[in-house]
Amino acid sequence: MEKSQQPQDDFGTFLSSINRAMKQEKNGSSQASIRIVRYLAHTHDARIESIMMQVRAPFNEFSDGLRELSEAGLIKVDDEDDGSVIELTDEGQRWAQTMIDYDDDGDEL
Amino acid sequence: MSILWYEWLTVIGIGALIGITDIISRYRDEPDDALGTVPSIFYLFVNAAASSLTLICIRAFDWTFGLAGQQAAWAQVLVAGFGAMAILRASLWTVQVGEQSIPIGLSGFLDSILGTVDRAVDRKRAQQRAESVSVIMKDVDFDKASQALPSYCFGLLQNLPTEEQEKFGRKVALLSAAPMHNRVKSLLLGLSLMNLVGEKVLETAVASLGADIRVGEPAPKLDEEPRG
Repeated sequence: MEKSQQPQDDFGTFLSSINRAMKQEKNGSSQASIRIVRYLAHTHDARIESIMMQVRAPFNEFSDGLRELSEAGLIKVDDEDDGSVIELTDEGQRWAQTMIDYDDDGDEL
Repeated sequence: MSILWYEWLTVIGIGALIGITDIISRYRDEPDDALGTVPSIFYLFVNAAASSLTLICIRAFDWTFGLAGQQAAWAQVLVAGFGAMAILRASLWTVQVGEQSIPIGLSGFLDSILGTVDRAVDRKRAQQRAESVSVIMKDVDFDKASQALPSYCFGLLQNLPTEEQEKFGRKVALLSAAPMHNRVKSLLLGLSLMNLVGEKVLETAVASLGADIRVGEPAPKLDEEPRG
């Protein structure tokens, strides 16, 4: 009988995950991800169509960006009857706060 | 009906102690942070006031629990102290609204105070965390630290679930490709690591890796095959 419990390692999973994610990563989707977080920093949550209007990225980059953020645990997607609402998780909020606290040169505002 | 000063003190003490236990069990990592917030103090006050009010009622109705003299007096104090806990935490019935069950009773009132405590503690911690991360991650180069620092921290912990490692890998990949200043990336890396491993472990790891992850030092060669 196979053991159902997955063995844990010190950091091997982390390294393979980062390598896998880096191979999938596209520059456009990362830019879209950051724009989504920046937009949500001010509203905390928003309907998916409002975010799309503000982020202004091609649809595939936008959806890749949402997927990346969701897999990283930075946003939650609530599917409702009349559409989806995207919400920052607690950690997503901390990221967003840090992003808006610093300017493009890395200096605190 | 008279209540002596030490009876007041005992009943208030029991009420407050129960409140303190509630808050400590909720914030096990840093209970002193949680207890220092205004909503926490209000929560303790509500518990102590409920115990005192219960004692006043018990004395007013002269419930002696079949005892007499000093024994009855102390039984009343203890019943008031611990009984208030049951009254405050009870929900009389539950109302179904949509898919949500809403308890009706004083427990809802207590939960709303605890919710306020949660938010106050979160705000306090967020500020502390931001300050700590800013100090710990000062001069840390994201490009050098993005793999070395999390690996070292996870190695120190040894029992971090694989799902958390997987999620963290995605965060780092996202940060690596993000069009942001290196300093902001380092801070975000530090923030996420601190959530997983805590401030002390992060501080120790940054100090241990030292110059290898700092700005201006040669980058560590992680992919280099061991010679020999």
